[in-house]
Amino acid sequence: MQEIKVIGIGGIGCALLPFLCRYLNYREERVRITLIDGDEFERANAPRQAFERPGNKAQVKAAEMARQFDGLSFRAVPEYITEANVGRALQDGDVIFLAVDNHRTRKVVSDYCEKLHAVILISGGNDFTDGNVQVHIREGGRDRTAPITRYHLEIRDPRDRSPAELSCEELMARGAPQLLFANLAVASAMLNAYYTICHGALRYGEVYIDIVEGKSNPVTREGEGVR
Amino acid sequence: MTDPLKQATRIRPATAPATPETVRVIYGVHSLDVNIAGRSVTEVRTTLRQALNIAPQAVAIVDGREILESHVLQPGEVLEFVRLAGEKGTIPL
Repeated sequence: MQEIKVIGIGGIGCALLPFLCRYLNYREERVRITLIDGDEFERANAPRQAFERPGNKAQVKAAEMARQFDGLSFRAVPEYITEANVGRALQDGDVIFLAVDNHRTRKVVSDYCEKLHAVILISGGNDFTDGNVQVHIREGGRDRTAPITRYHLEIRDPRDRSPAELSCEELMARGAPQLLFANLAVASAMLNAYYTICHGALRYGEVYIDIVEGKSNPVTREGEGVR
Repeated sequence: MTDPLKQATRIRPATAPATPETVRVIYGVHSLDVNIAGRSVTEVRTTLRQALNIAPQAVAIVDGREILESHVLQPGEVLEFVRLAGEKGTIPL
């Protein structure tokens, strides 16, 4: 069974999941999708995030997807990813969609992926009107594309904290303006990367997106470019 | 992989500059072909910092390889300053 993990069920995760699930639901391969997020959906998030009801984001969204896509298996992990639980959450052979808004969690996931024999990590994030997606592929214990920490010092040495380390007041205060369309653009770029990987056609390790410029720019670095 | 898909995804992102005497500079979606051969990466970073809003900590890569800031650019090279990973919260339009 193919295991897919979606970490972060916020603006990008919510945009990504319906399309990912519809795509996978009609393939012959058996797939289990695990949604991972410790955050709670509140009505104030509604302009940018689609949930049927308040509650833990992973649990609410997993239940929604399970009702819509009966060909897939779903599981919810209502926790933030930390160094303490990453080994339980991720396994060899996983396809991971990392859709979080902090570098600390990215580093925890990336460091763990570097220890795995085989993994596909697709990490996406956005600022207000632009964003980027990094792809880290490991096969046979070797990197086919660069780990997401390699060229991103802000992820390698994060100065922020995991949401698991923040108080309720800090979590409330960290809200920054976000644009639904930027979330959608990054989610789309993550799915495009997944599709090209599935077909052995990925030729980049990172892609930049800017919705105001109307541009995307895929870049290839040392040792990357052909899969 | 199917052949039609191969043809449809023939992406060549870090291609050489349009003219062989220039250097291509990439930052995010922006790409410029400029006459800066002979200058160091540090000089280019300083010169283009404001125009492209290059973050001070952005890693510099030449032809796909991480290089020293003292590297002197050669005609035809591609210099990328790696745009920081998105984490929301920059200034809206």
